[in-house]
Amino acid sequence: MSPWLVRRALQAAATFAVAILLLFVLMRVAPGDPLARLNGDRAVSEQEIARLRARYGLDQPILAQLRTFLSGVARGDLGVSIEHYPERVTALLASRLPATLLLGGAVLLLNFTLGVWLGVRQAVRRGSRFDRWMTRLALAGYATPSFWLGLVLVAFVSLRWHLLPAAQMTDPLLPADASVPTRAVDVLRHLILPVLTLSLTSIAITMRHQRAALLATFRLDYVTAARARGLSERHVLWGHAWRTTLVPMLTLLGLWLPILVSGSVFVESVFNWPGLGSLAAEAIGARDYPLLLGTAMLGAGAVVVAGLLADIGYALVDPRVRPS
Amino acid sequence: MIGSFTDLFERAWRHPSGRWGVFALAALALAAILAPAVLPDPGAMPDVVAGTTSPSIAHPFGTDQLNRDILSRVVSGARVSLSVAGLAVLVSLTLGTCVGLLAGYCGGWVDAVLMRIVDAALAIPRLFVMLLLLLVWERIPLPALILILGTTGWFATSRLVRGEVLRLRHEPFVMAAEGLGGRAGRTIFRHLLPNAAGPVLVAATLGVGDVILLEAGLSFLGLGIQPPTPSWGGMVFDARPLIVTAPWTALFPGAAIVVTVLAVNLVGDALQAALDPRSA
Repeated sequence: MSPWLVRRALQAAATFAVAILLLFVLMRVAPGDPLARLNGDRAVSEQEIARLRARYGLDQPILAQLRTFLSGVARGDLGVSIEHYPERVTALLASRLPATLLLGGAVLLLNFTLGVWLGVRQAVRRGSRFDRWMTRLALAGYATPSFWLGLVLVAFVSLRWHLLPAAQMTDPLLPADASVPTRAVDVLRHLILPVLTLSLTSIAITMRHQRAALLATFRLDYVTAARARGLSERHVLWGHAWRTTLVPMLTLLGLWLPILVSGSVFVESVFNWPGLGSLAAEAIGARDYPLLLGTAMLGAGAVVVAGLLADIGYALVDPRVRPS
Repeated sequence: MIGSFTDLFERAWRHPSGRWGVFALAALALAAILAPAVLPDPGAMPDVVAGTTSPSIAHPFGTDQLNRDILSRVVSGARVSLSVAGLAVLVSLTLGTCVGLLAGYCGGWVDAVLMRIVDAALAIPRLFVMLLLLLVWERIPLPALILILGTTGWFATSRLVRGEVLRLRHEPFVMAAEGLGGRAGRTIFRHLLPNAAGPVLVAATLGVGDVILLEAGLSFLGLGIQPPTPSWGGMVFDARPLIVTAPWTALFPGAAIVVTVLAVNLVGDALQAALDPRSA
């Protein structure tokens, strides 16, 4: 392992540590008592609240709370959920992770293939009617709230036209002994609408970055030189110009992930997708602080890791960025 | 470098999409101002028995589940949404500019500490920060919502301003101002700030669109603007059970969000193109 990589990994760890500290401070500076709200929504007795307060350590001085919180995090223990008592937050997160990875992975795949391709076509035909309308369409998608687009798609595609399932990840009526291909097709059919919703509302980012990066590359001397040598336009585009844009496109990953994480809260709750986003939405409804804090920490961790991976990829592609 | 702000606005105006954005925003603002005189009262007595009715001449956008006129609710939603977003961006712009100036101008450990915090804050998805802060209220007061939207949105701006300051610091005119013994305050406000203002203006414009979307999302989750004040996100949430039988209850408020955010982003886009013509 190179010293550069070690330094970058340490920096990522430090960023994550500060993020966790910020989350703790956030919980404490918020006016009011996290547990006081429980009283209004449900029949919870005073003694019950006092017991919960003791359980979550809210009756202790702030520094002691911080110590408990941090040692818990260090041991990989995020406490007990209020809504799903007595299940542990980490167990809940782990059980919901696969569905979110599937959804997020599919959106990532679509945005970084279709989005990249559209951005390249736009840059090649810069200023054309195609370029202008793609920009406008992408901006309109970016301006669309995902919860609304999801609802509209469900209303028309699922409930009115009966083309695709409206919610969940699998069909509950599917026989238990269904073959693997049948199951895969079932999940795929459930996947289409949520992926479409998340992708339409975020693909503009990939398209814009790809277009801008390629336009910047087109102005460089080596591209002109490649053209002057009589290489085919196709070869200049994909073999020379596009390759260099991979570097700025990689950094986009770190930028784009927080948007995906926030978007999945809305899209998963609209589609009842059994992932982390709908878990966060449930936590909001139930005022389940430990659970919401856990999802926020996982989200922050994912963003930090994505940034780190992007930088490592960056260094693999472009050796200049890893000073020895 | 742009000559002046009038120059920037002129060039943005010549950009076709910028003009459309300005027209759309002006129409929205006009509607929001004139609406109370023309349209039925958005807070009119709810009528559960009559329920929702489809679009008609009396109610061009139809009425919602409580028989309230959707058009007037969408228009008063515009007033709330635009003013909340404008004020929130003002807060985050001020904070981001101050922190960015401080980090860029002081450098050294001040810069290192501030930017580490900004890095970490940027790693936490903004939605979660706001959710954790908003969850404690029984009824979220509007000023608190604006402050929370504002104080969670300045991190990227501070990075931008810091970058601009670092870029400008070694420009001859700034070095000359410092070499001539100009005070730090004068250097910052006369030389650094005006020259960094362009990119900041673009970021702020695009930030308004982001905040409108965020506020709509929060209101959809019940943690934004509180009923009975009409909000677009809240209206879409209320329309959830009616989406098949009465789609107009969801379509119009959602379309209002799309049109407004798109208009704001088109203006931001045009400003960006005017600032850096090569990117267009």
